[in-house]
Amino acid sequence: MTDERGPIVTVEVPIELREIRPLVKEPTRQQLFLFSAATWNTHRIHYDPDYAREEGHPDVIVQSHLHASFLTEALVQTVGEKARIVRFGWQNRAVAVPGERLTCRGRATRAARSGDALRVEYELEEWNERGALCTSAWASVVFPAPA
Amino acid sequence: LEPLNWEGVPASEVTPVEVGPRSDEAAIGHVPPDVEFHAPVADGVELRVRSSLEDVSLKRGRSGGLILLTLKTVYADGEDRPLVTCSDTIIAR
Repeated sequence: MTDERGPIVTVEVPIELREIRPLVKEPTRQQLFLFSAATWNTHRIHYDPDYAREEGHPDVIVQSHLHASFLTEALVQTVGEKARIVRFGWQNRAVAVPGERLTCRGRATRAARSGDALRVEYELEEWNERGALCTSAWASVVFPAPA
Repeated sequence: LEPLNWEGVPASEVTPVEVGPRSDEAAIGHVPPDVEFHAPVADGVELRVRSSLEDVSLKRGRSGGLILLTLKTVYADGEDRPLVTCSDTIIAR
């Protein structure tokens, strides 16, 4: 296979990029309210506890995109600001509520080099403290050529 | 484990997004998107957005039939170079 930089060669993932350093987040009701406002998400299950309970949830629930933002933050914490996320997708598996400790972690699954650029594929997960998987995600990250 | 839609509901049991009076016609949800970032989006760039319907399928949920619409949205710059491609699935009853 080739791309605009030349042949794509599968390589070993550099050791420092293999594991995503765990990131623990503890969302609050205030954070959920602000995130809904910033993303124009008017759904009351994210800021109205009574409504959320009517809908069968224990409390207001963390937005799907906030789960993804936590995982993205964990990813950037390991790969660094100079790397570029070129693909990101996710699935929500279980709901989370304010006050829960959510742990984000992940690992590289493969890497390929094209020219001087290195592309690494990652799988990521966010777990709650009761051991339930809240969100699974996948991402591709491109590291620029060394200066 | 069954994937949830973006409001925390199992994809097979989608309930309405609260944007107006609840009705069967308004029963819509989303599956979180898969996004590809081709190039950085600079402040002030003129964006051209094109959405196309890639697929339509029917799924049988526990509470009845669901329609899954797969949309592809491409955000391009003023010279039509793609910046972001987003694949989205909308679920409707």
